[in-house]
Amino acid sequence: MSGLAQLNDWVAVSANWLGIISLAVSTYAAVTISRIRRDIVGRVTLPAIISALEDGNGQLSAMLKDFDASHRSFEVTLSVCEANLRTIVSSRSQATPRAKSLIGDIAAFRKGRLSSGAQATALDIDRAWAIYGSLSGLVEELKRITHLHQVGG
Amino acid sequence: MDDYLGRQVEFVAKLVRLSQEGRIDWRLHEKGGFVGEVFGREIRIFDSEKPAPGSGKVGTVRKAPVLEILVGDGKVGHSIESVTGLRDLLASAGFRAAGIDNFMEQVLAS
Repeated sequence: MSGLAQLNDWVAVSANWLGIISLAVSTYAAVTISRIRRDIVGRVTLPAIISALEDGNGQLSAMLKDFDASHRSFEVTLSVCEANLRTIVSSRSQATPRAKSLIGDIAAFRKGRLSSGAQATALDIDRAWAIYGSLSGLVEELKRITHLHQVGG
Repeated sequence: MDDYLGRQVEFVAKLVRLSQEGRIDWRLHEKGGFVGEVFGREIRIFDSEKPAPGSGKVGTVRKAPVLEILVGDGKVGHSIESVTGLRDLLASAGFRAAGIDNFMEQVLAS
């Protein structure tokens, strides 16, 4: 009888240890997948995203020359940039906090535009130029990250 | 990104804004590119040709915009290159120096 009880205890302890090992393996797998995903974004998609963001940002600055005449195109280009920013956020790279902050700035700009109506206010223009400046900074940071990836092999 | 590079990016972005708002009077420069005046200082932006790294072909060049801050006698006091936004500044300077705005207005008004 005591032998059976001992066996029961042994099975219970083994099950606990197996559970802990399984959790450790799952955690390791999740961390590895996350790292590989970040690596793929860094090596493969990041150069394309940088190029798209740089082009988009250049277009935004050109449209800001006459915002009232090109506000619709501006919104479209801004949406394209925002989509690329979301890819950066999902990559969980070093640039993620800056990309998140920029998405917040874009949301604030859109909210301001809704309340200001058809005619852009000076605040709208200031916010748009701030987005341009922040996007430039982000592109610069992404270039540095890509360079580090390349140097790191 | 280090603080100095960050300041350079902000500086170039601000110049792009000033240029797009017509607050920099750009003109052609005899050595190429465009020269303008901002806050009493002359700046020049032009495309510089540099050897293309990793192209695998000898003599392959790539164009990269360079911004120069000129000192009183036309000499270069400081130059900024490889900073995001310089291409936008070059495009804006070309647009303004060529008087594209006025030209388009004239054509549209005719």
